[in-house]
Amino acid sequence: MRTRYIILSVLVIVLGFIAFILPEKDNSQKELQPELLHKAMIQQTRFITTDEVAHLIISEDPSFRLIDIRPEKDFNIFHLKRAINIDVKDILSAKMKKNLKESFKKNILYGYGTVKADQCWVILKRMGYKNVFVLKGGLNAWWETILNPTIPDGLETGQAVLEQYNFRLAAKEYFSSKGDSIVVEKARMELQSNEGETTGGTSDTETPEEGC
Amino acid sequence: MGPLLAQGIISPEWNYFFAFIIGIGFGFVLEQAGFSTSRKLVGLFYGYDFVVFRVFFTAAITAMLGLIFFNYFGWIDITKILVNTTYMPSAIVGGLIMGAGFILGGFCPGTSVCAAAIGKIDAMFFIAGVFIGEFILFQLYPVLEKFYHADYQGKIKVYESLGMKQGLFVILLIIVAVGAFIVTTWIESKQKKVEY
Amino acid sequence: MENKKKVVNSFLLLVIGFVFILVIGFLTMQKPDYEYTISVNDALSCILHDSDKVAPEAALKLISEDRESYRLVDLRNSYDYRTGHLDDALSIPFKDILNEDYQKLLNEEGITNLFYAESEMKAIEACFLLKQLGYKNNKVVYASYTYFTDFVLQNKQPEMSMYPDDRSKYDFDKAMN
Repeated sequence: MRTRYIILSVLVIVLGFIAFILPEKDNSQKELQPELLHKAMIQQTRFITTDEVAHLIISEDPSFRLIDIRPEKDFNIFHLKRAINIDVKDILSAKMKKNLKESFKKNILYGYGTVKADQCWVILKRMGYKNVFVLKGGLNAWWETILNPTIPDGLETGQAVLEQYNFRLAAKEYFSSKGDSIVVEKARMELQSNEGETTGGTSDTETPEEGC
Repeated sequence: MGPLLAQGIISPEWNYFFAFIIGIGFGFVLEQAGFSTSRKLVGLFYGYDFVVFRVFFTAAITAMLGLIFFNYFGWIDITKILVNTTYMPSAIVGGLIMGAGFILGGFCPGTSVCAAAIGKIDAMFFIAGVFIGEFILFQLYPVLEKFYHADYQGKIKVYESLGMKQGLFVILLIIVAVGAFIVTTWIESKQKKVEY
Repeated sequence: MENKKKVVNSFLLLVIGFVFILVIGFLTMQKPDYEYTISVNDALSCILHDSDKVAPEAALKLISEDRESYRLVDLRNSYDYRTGHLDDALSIPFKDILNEDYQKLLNEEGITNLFYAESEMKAIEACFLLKQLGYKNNKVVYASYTYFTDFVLQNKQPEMSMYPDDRSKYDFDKAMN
């Protein structure tokens, strides 16, 4: 009996000592391993085209969120509809993490181009978030395809190309008319012009413009 | 099987199954250590039999070492292990009440079920007493609620509240345990043999 | 006494079993092949700055003037490389940059690798990933391979100037009005 207890005591002290010198390991924040991150980078599934984003905005799809990674003053000059501004240096802040935790929502990062947003994607992917995407081409591509779509030249033909061009024209109309604010403005002015009629004011100034 | 269930490795049904198996294992260990006799259980209080102390301390140390090593191997995630929230005043008062009940009745809740399973009638009365006590607590809950939830310290661990690292606490605890085992064995050897 | 022996045996068995599990655990722990040397919180600092980028003409000049300390690395796949590549460029396809064979080349003391690929973005991605793994001495040539073949090598200037990807190309002020 005695020897058994002595062996046990020695064993447990040795184990305790090993536990003492072991470094503490945090297994909860599992980062994506470099090989897997590398594989994910090779795939192109993270990119979303400007046409798709235009579709999502126009159809008021609630399952996505646009995140603008440019500085605040650039955001204030121009940003996509209902986008939120999280600067690149805040990409790991609590605010961003809150957005990422809602795993049912797609987060689409965009900047002026693709490169910075893509690098932000790499960081977020390394942390293990799967619901992050990148707008290919950024706002520069947005300008070139949606705000000022170019007529498809002779090199690209086919029904699909024509449809894409028509969609872009319609999207341009939607985005340049600034959506709801114009409708409200028109309604208010119509009301005013109706009132103006009874007092003999000019009421012919507002003819609603039909789309092109 | 807390961590396994939280991570979705096993379904809730398997969870109950494992709970059942572990419960049976727990009862088996208690019974074969002799914890169905109240004389052995209150021996710790009266100072003639320290088996309870040694068994539970051994279990705690085995579990502690197991968790630390398994976390290091990456087999479990130690942050997902349930840690009870600490409410200091209610913990102290609850401990005192339970200690008094233990000595008076000669059982603690777990061992009472063990003893009732082998047919001891006083254990069955003890279980009835446990239920009556809980009933009284819940009837008085509106009055006691503030005290019940006083001094919330969150899910702190002992070494955090003492301000030392986990590894240091482990080695200190083990040294204390081995020392306590030696002392209690020595005390026991000085006692008269008690009939169970 | 027999009972005691049985208890002793099963007890010993449990203890040996516990120690055995621990030993297995220690032996089966693998050291990961690749580890990030830069934590996620600091990864933001790895985002490529202007100092990591080299203009295409400057890159060619560095290669020709200082062969010992600069080296071109072609990140495109091997088929494209064989079809045509810049002189003296090393072929390391993007999908192989984590291979052990190239580890030494990509992290060499004293030699700066200049990455180029079919697009600037691929080169930037490669450099960014390697930076997080702690590799030093890698820079990105700010041009795609086709830019080299169409303009630089023929000493021509492109019609539209090469705009850095992350700056505003257009006047977005007007878009809101």
